[in-house]
Amino acid sequence: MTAPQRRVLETVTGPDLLDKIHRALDRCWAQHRDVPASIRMTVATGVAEIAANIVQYAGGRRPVPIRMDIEVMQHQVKVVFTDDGEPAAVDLEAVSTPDALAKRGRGLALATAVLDELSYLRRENHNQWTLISRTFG
Amino acid sequence: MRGRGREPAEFPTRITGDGVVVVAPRGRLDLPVAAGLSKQLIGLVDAGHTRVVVDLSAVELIDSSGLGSLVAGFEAARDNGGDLKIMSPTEQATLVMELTNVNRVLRTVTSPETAFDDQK
Repeated sequence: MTAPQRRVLETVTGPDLLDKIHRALDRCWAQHRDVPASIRMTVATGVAEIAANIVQYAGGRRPVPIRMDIEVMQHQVKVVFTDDGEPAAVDLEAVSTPDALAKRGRGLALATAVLDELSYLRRENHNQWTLISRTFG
Repeated sequence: MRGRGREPAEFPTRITGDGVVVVAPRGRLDLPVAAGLSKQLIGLVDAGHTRVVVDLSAVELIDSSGLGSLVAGFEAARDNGGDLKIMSPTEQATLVMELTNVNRVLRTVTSPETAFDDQK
């Protein structure tokens, strides 16, 4: 692999968003068979949590435009979600794993734990989530 | 959530000779299907099947919603004098259960036939 390779998915939030996102990841892995299974697993796990968060909170019942950029570099995979939804009321610094018997509230804690980097920015009218998993190569 | 893309039918279920109910979800156990699994597990417990094994061997990805459904089933079983255990988790399922400490309450077993030997 000599240069970063990027794939882009542009769609709107809705019932089939998670299917579309996982299909986009599968297409990416098909083109990048050198990405180890462990990295594919952590990326898919982190992406599932952040995408579910966007589906639930960014638009509520309203579909909002969303873009997913997948970038495969020599030693990492980076996924950036950009959506036009409501600001996410999150403080990633304050995320902690809930009690083992909690029925909800694990999503961001799991994403934070499984990824090497997770960040959230509100820029103008957009939410931007950046997910990074590394190291391989 | 209503109007999901993969609003599920019930997941396959079988009952062993010892009366242990085995539920075997398939595919992704995530937001669109998690509420359905919770409902199914609680329904089984309410119907008297309080010893439950969830076979995760065919689950390609489980997210926090899926974990929540397993915990809901576990609590329902425990509240009714039973238990819910996990069988054949994939590497991904094992990872997420460990990272969220859910493995401290959901025990993994090797077969439904021996899953509840400690309670005999």
